[in-house]
Amino acid sequence: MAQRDELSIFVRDALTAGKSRPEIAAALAHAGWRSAEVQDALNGWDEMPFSPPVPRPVATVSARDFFTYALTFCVLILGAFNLVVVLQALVDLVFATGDGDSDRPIRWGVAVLIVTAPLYLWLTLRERQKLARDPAHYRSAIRKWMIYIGLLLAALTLLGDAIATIYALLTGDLTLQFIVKALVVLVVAGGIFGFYVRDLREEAPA
Amino acid sequence: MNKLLLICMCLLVGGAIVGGLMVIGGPKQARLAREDKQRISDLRILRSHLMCIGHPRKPLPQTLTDDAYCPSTRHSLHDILASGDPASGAPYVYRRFSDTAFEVCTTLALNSQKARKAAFDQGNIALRADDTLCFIGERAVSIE
Repeated sequence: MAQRDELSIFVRDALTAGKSRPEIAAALAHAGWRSAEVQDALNGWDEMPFSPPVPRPVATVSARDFFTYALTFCVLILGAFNLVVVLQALVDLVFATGDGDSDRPIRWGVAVLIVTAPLYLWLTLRERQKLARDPAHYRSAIRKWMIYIGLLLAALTLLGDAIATIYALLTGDLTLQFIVKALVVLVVAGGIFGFYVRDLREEAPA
Repeated sequence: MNKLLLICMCLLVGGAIVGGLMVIGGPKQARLAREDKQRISDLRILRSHLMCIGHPRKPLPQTLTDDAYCPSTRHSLHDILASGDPASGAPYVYRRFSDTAFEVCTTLALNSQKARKAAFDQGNIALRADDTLCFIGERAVSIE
C-alpha cells in the first residue's frame, strides 16, 4: 500500500513538472514497475492538462458502509438458507416422506423469513435509492467486497448442489424428490448469483 | 431487469411463508400438537410403570395410584398422576382387563392416526373406535 502511495505521489510530481504520460510510463517501466501498475497509477490522475494534476475518484471505505452491507449480506445468507430449508421440507411433505418432526424446521424457517425478508428488501431498496441519488456510492470498496463474497458463497453452493446431484445419480438415489430439492437450491443460489452479477454489470458504465 | 428477479424472489419467499404456515398451522395448532406429544409421553411412562419390567411379577394394580405396585418407577409417575391430562387435567383412563392385560388411554386433540404412525413404538399403540389412543400391554404370567 505504501509503495502504491509512493508511486502515486511520483506520478503527481512528474505531471506537475510537465512530463508527458509516455515519458512517465517509460521511466516507471525502466524502474521495474509492471505496465498494469503504471496504468493504474496514471489513471489515478485526470488527463486534462491542469496544474496541479486533478485526482480521479478512488474507492472509498467507511465503517458505515461496512455496517450496512455486512448486515444486508448476513440477512441475505440467513434468509436464503432458511428459505431452502422451508421449501425442501415442503417438498418432503408433498412427497409424503416428511416425518412428524418436519414441523419444527418449517416453523423456525418461517420465523426467520418473516424477519429477514422484509429487512433485506428494505435494506436493498434503500441502497438502490442511495446509489441512484449519488452514484459515488458505487465506489464503495466494501460494497464490492461484500458482493464478491456473496457471489463466492452462491457459487460454492451451486457447486455443492451440482456435486450432490451427480453423486446421487451415481449412487442411484436420483429420485424426482431429490431433483426437486436440488432445483430449490439451484433457484435460490442461482437467483442470488444472477442478481449480484447483474448488479456489478449495471454499475460498470457509471 | 434486476427488478424482475427481485420480484420473483419476493414471490418465492412469500410462497414459502404462506405454504409453511398452511402446513404447520397457527399457534393454536402448535399448542395442541405439543399437548398431544405430552399425552403420548405420559402414556408411555404409565405403560412402562404397569409393565414393571425387571421386578417380581405381581398382578396388575386395581388403580394407578397403588403405591405398592412397582415402587422403582413411582417417582416418575407422581407428576403425571398429579397433573393428569395437560389440557383438561382429567386423569388418564386405565383399564384392567385381567391380572396381566391392560390399556391406558387418552383422547388426542389432533389426528391420532398420524400420531400413532409417528411413534417409534407404534406396536404398543392401539386406536379405539371413539378415536381414543391407547397404549396396550400384556404382562407375562407370574411364575411364582
